[in-house]
Amino acid sequence: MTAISLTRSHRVRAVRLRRIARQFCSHRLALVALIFLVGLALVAVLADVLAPFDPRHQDYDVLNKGPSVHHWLGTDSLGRDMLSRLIHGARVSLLSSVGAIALTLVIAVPLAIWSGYAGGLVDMVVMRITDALQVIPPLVLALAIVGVLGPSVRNIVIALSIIFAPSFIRLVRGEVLAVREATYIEASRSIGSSPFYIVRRRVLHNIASPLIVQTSVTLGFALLAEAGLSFIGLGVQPPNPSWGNMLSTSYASIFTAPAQIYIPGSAIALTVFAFNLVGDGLRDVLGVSSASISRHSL
Amino acid sequence: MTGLLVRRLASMVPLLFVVSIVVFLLVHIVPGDPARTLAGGEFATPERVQLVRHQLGLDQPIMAQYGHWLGNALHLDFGKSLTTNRSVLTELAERLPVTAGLVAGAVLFAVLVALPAGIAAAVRQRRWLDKVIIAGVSLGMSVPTFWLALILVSVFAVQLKLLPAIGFVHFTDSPVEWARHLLLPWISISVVMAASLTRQLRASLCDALEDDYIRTARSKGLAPAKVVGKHALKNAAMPAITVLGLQIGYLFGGAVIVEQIFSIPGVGSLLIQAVINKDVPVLQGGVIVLALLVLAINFAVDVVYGYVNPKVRVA
Repeated sequence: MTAISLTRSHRVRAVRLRRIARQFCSHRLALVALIFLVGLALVAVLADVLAPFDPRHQDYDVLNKGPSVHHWLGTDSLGRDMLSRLIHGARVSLLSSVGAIALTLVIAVPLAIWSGYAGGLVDMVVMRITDALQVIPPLVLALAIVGVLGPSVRNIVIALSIIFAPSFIRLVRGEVLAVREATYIEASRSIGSSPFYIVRRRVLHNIASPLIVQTSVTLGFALLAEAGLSFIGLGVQPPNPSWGNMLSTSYASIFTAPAQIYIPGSAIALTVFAFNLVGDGLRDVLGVSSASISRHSL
Repeated sequence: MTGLLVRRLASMVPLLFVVSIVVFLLVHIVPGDPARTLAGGEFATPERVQLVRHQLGLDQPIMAQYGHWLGNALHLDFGKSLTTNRSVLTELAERLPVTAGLVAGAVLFAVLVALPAGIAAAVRQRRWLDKVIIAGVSLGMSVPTFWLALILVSVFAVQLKLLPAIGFVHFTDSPVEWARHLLLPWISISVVMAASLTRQLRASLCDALEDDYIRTARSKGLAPAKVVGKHALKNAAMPAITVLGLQIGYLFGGAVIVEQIFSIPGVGSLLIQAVINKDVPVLQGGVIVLALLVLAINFAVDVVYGYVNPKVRVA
């Protein structure tokens, strides 16, 4: 009996996933964006193999040179290969934004479920803290946290997860409150399901769609925020490359090599754009209302 | 209406209390011994460490520290800057008008673009003009503000030499130079704002245009301009005003990077300096004042709501 229902529910899930995948593929732009992001992730993983030069190697014979056969995207003010720095920068940028979102989910989801399920004092305390964090402009909060903890990628990840947590907590708690009183949850409870089982099988199942959309939209902002903080010198410390600090290096030589700012800048813009497109595509396919998703901008 | 506003004001009190706790705790998450770290790390003289410890009240029990700090903060006294030794409030008060000018100009630009664009897109729904505007919105929302700022500097200041690349002139010294120096920052900040405002306005206007009262207004022979401008827009304005209010509040701190790029001596640059110098009192004061500002703007949005929508006044 259990074996049969198990295989059946698996088959139902497989059919549903295939339908979602097919619908997503009909969103041309979202599909292109997803392929771009997967490609970028591969580049980030294979950075050591793909990068033609050591991103930290300085060659004083080629300072601020334009594209050439040797250096496809040219070199920066210290004679470092731009392409290699861009490839290695992708790793830092993607890793820190994914890390920030992962940490956010680990903090926010259990807290929100606990808060929504338990109600009472727990809920009140969690919501008041959430409200308070949302009153502070996000970038200022991130700045203050990185400021006291000290500049580093790890601290940026911590700061970003603190500024993202409130909107995730709000989203998940809202869904928990909505399903808590639903008849099928009551039924599940009445046949003796443990709260843990209900949360895992019923509640998480319901919040999955809005959570996925919120995650993909927030990833774009995380990348932007990391780039911005690295740009003002609070993130990845030189000589290690990140798109943000490449932008500030190229800004420093804006009079001698004005075209240089377009290389890291368009990498950041394209990636953020891709995250937003994938988010919008997923939102349409999963049928999530756009009002439930909170967006940040920088 | 008054009852609603009083209730709104009252709900801010517990909020500010929690903000104050969060901000107070900032100094305690400084790694290691906060007093030593903030005094300059291992090279700090023992006297300096003691001075900082005393100045921040770190030599007292934590509850006493908080009570003392909160008591002062209620009088807007956030202590003295650890680097300049001037009152944090004075530092902030000097810089707020600068940032206010930056934000006000950017908001004006954004509204001037978003209002016609949003209306045009909604009225010409699913036609080519709408599609062009939607594409522009997605583009505008994806371009990082700080990169746009760099591009503008590169094109208009470095290559065409039309506008100054960096620097700031106070309005009182020369209004023309003030505007010339702020033109590029205004444009860079307003693009994202204009994009999200257009998006919001288009969405709510599209919804409003499908409502029954619009059909009634049309069928009684009202001019199309009046149907959109008076009936639909008034109903569609609320979500857009909310977005605008949120953005204005966030911009006071969110303009940090643009202020840094253009060397504008606003609140953002002050905060960055404070971060670099580990000047915790300035950071704390800055966060509190900006939070207060966000709350004040939210309150102003509520008042505007009441003005635009009579339904709210009764509630």
